[in-house]
Amino acid sequence: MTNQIDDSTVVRTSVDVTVAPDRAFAVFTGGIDRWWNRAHHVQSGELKEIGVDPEVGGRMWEENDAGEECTWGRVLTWDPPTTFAFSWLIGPDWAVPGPDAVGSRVTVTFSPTDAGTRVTLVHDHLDAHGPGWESVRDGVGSDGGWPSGLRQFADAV
Amino acid sequence: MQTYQVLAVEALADPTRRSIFELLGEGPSSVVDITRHVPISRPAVSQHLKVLKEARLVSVRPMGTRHIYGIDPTGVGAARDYFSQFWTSALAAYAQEANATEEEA
Repeated sequence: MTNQIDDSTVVRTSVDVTVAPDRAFAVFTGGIDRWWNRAHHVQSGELKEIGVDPEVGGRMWEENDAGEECTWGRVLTWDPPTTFAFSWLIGPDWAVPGPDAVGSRVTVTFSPTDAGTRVTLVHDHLDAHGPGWESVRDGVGSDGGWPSGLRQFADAV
Repeated sequence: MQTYQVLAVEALADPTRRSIFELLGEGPSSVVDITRHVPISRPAVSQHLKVLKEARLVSVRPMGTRHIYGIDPTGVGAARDYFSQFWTSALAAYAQEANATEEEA
């Protein structure tokens, strides 16, 4: 697993899995509800389900325990088992995105390796989220950046 | 650190506080100056600044008889840290799930 910031508006991270790209792609997209952290949702209440509509222009959606649905991104690239990209309309505040929300972009690529698949995730155009992110970005390079997250992961494997 | 991350996210969940925070992102400002830019009273601005300060998103320094508020890199770094680590932990959970499907197969 590697982690780095190319520049202040890009987050890049990758992980190796022991399954073939087609399965890695399927788990990331169709299986997102099985691995997504339940604490990460934008609507009130509890997260009941999170899903991906498997086509370009499809919704990245979530449903809460009250049955309310919310679209928090759109599928930009649907090219199994190689590339999956979607817009990310959620700002630093994790609020429900407005109809005119401007998004950043998340691109996930699946590359075959000897042992399975390398999954690389790039979250870029973070500056699209406006001044909030612009200000937040100023903290990059100071204490509390990537290393603690890397250690957390290293402890977990 | 975790405490400040949570405080920072909660503090920025309020649209008025977010607009104040964004305003300070453009440069340090006094309470009076901030009040000119938001449709709320000066005491309300002060209250919001207090919350932002507790989350370490803004800091204050005296300048003559005034207090000048600006972005605090401590809390800002914590907020960035929070969102950066988001994908690290998400991918770790994803990898665990993907590897588990191999065992099922």
